[in-house]
Parts: sequence; C-alpha cells; structure tokens
Amino acid sequence: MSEEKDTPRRGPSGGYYIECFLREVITNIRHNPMMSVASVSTVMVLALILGFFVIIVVNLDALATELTGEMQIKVYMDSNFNPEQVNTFKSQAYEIGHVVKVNFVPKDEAFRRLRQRLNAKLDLNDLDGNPLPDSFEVPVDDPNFLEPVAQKIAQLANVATVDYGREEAYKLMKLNHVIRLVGFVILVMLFASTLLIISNTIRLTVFARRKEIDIMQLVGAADWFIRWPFILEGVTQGMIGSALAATLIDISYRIVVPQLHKSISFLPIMAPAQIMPFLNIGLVFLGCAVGALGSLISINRHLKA
Amino acid sequence: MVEPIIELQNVNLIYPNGTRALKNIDLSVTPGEFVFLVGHTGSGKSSLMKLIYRENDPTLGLVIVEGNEVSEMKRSQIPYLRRRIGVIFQDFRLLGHKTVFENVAYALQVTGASRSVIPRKVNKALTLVNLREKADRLPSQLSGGEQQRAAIARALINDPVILLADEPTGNLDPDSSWDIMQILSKVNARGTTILVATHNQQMVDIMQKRVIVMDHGEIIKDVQNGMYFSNDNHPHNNEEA
Ligand SMILES: Nc1ncnc2c1ncn2[C@@H]1O[C@H](COP(=O)(O)OP(=O)(O)OP(=O)(O)O)[C@@H](O)[C@H]1O
Ligand SMILES: [Mg+2]
Repeated sequence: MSEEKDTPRRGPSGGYYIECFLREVITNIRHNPMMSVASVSTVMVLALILGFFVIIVVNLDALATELTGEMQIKVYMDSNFNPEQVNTFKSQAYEIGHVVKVNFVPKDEAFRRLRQRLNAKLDLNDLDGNPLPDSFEVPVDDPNFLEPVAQKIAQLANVATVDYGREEAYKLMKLNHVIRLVGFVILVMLFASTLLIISNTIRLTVFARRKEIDIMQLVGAADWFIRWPFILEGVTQGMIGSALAATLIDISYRIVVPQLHKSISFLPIMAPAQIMPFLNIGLVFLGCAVGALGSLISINRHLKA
Repeated sequence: MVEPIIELQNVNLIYPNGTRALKNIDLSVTPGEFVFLVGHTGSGKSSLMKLIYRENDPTLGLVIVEGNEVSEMKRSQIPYLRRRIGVIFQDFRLLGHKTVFENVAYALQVTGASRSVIPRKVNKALTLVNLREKADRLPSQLSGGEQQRAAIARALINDPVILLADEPTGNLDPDSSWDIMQILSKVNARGTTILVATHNQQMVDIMQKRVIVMDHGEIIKDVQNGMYFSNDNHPHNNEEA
C-alpha cells in the first residue's frame, strides 16, 4: 500500500489544529463541569501541600545551616600564643580524635576577612592595630562530637575561648530530615490519588465521546490525533489547579514573612523573592505533568482496548 | 492477470467467546469490482468486512489489501489503511452535534489535511451524493437516505480505493435505497472497488453484479452477474465456480 505517497497531508497549519483542539477542550469541560472541578481541586490540594512542605523544608534547612555554621569548632587563642606554637597545637588537637583538619587563621588573615565581610560599611582604619586574636578552625567528622572535642580543646595551652554550633541545630536538622521523609510519603500518595482522579475524569470524557473516537479511528485518525484533545484537557485542569495553589501560597507567604520578621527577627526566613518564582514555576509544571499523565493513562487504556 | 485488491486466504475467525464466525474463507476481489455479500443473519458478512479494515484480526489465515498483509501492519499503520478504505453502515454513524459539512470535513481533518483544501473537497463529495444544499443541516434534520448519503460523502472524502458498505440500505425505504445504489454504482464506475453486504434481494437481483453467498461462516456460492440466494430461497441463477 502506498500510504506515504497518498497521504502527503500532514500538519501544514499547526495553529488551526490547536484551535480545533482547544475548542474541543472547552466543549468537554462545559459538558462535564463537576468532574473538571474535582480534578482541578485535587491538583490544587496536591500543589498546596507540596508548596507548604517545600517552604518548611527550605526554611528549616536555612535555619539549620545558620545555626550550625560549618560543623566546625572555632578556637580563639589568648595573647600569649605565638605562631611558632602552631604545629604543637595542631598535633595536640589531632590527638583528641574526630578532628578532620586543623586550620590556622593568623590574626592578620582574620582582620582581612572581617574587613572584606564588612566591606565599606565600617571604617576599620579608625582602629589602632588589629584587635583580633589568632585562631584555629577545627572541623569534626560527626556533629555529635562537637561538644566533647571542643571541651578538650578548651583545656589546651593558650586557648582563650572555643565556639561551636549548638546541639539544637543538629536536632533541627534531624527534624528536617523527618519532615522531608513524611512530606515525600504524603506527596507520593497524593500524586497517585490525583492521577487516579484525573484519569477518571478524563475517562468519563472518553466514555462520553467513544462514538466519536470510533469514528475518528474508522476514518483513519492516527492515535496521537485522537489523544491530543484529551491530554490538553488534562493539562488544562492540572494547570488551573496548580496555578490557583501557587497564587494562594505566594500571597500567603508574602503576608506571613514580614509578620514573622517582626515577631521573631532572629530567624533567617527566606525572602519571598528567593523561593517563590521557583516554587510557582515548579508547582505549575507539576500540575501540567500530572494532568497530562492522568489523561494519557485513560485515553491509552481506551485506545488499546 | 490483475493483482487482486482484496484477498483472503484460508481465513478463520473465532471470537473470544468461542463463536466461529468465519471458516476457511478464500476470496479474491479485483480492482474496480462491485461485489454483493449476502447470507442469513449471523452468517459472517460483517465479520468478514471488519477483517478488511482491520477492526479485527483473523484467528488464522491471511487478509491482503493492495498487496499488503493487513494483520502484519503495525498499529501506527492502521490509520493509513483506513484512509484507503471507506466504510458505511446501516446506522450511518454521523456525529449528531456536527453539521453534514462538518461531519464530512472531519474525516479530512483527522488525516491532517490543510485547511485550504477542505471546503473544496467537501463540496465536491457532497455534490457527488447530491447533498450540497443541505450541507449546513444537522443529521437529525435529514431523512435516513440523506444521512446515508452524507456518510458516503464522508467515506469517499479521502479518495479510498475500496468502499465497504455493511447493509447500507437496511434502514431505508425502497426509493432511498435505490438512490444509494445509484451513488454506489457511480462511485464504482470511477474505479472504486465496492463490497456491499445486504439482505435486499430485489436490489441484488436488479444490479446483476458478482454475488458471494455466505452461510454459517463459509462461502457457499460465488457467482458473477448473480441473483440473490439464500438457503430457503433456492438458486435459480447462473452458477460459476
Ligand atoms: N464481537 C463479537 N463477539 C462474539 N461473537 C460475535 C461478535 N460479532 C459477531 N459475532 C458472531 O459471529 C457470527 C457472525 O456475525 P456477523 O455480524 O458477522 O454476521 P452478519 O452476517 O453480519 O449478520 P447480519 O446480517 O445480521 O448483520 C454471529 O454468530 C455473531 O453472533
Ligand atoms: Mg452484519
């Protein structure tokens, strides 16, 4: 059969087909408003919960990082310390165990770093001399040993003070892990049920239009031509649901963040501009994907049957 | 000898429920032929047609259309087969919410035809079946005969080489049936191969075309310029092997 030469007519005007498909989608949604509402709202719930978890996890992450510093002990030496003792200190520190590295920070270096951090905000030239002490940075291999190691280092010669991230920070990190896990499990279940609901909605549309699909197949429509309107319908529902959720999350975050800053100003809460654009795009993308997948499942089931 | 356009070799069809709908069918149709398929209800006429446009696959045997084995075709090739074969049914199968014009245009759109050729082609097909003035009506605003003519226009819109008609006049009065037959003759005269399953005895007798008689899934008679034949209406026509 000379199918190739007899069917040179393939998609010469894409815009026209999109127009046809969109018209079909609108007709379908109008014919089946309740099911469309069900799909849209489940996607919305999925996106809302996902968004909520992402915000919590991202902020707890930031908080934990802030609180722990870099999982290292800062050791400030007193004025009796002189740079010739660096190697002695290093070997003593390594003997304690769980010490990954011992990094000497001369006071000049510390001053340079400080100046860089403050940039032009403060004129350090007003100070006479360098008030900063020599110090060491001592990263450890396990946060649980921060405290015992720090206590032992504090007893070494010429150590003025030691400073390390607080234990609470690690508890927070662990909590964050648990939240992540719980969130992941909830989201997987939600994703599955959203898929189910969308594919059932689309299945109703498929069922309502089975005669039309039969005729399309009879007159030689390719599978993809038949699938498109249904997939577009699913995507539309997913997009509307997730866009609503993203808008809601965006607005509430922008309201809540300044309030939190006012009442608990020491907490490092992410600025809306830092996460919202990514979150919004991600959520809408997910909504479209779940919509497309859900409808693909049901239309494929029909076509293969 | 001309290559057959439709060929069935030792075709058997057993439905999943165990019904043996076709038994050892051998059949060859040359391009441009007009063939009637007759036989009692349940004798397998529709089942045979469904194999040709690959609505079903034979349990055993070969179905060959234009030299290609139909059951060998990949799923993605079936649409191209269907564009080479027009099909019409007793119940017309028009879409109720589309006008006559839209119903016919639909079969063009699904093949990806460009928008600019659609009106011209549709109007040509509607002219052929003498339905141009009613192009904007819905199927429900047409008589049965007119609906069947619209279905024929749709079946012909992709210029098929074969037209399968499964009891096309089953729901029609004699006048409308005759209209349909005349249209089919006209289409056949342009070179399209036509296969008509029918219970309409008078029609078959008048048309004097090839007649294939089926009974319980078998071809029991295959005659040129034949007359209607059934088991209780015994043959009085010129037999050919
Ligand atoms: N989808 C199916 N599943 C199971 N059995 C079927 C199916 N379609 C048809 N049959 C059976 O196969 C046999 C042939 O049916 P078919 O429809 O081909 O007959 P027909 O000659 O077209 O009859 P009619 O003149 O009434 O249209 C019958 O016994 C019928 O009951
Ligand atoms: Mg039949």
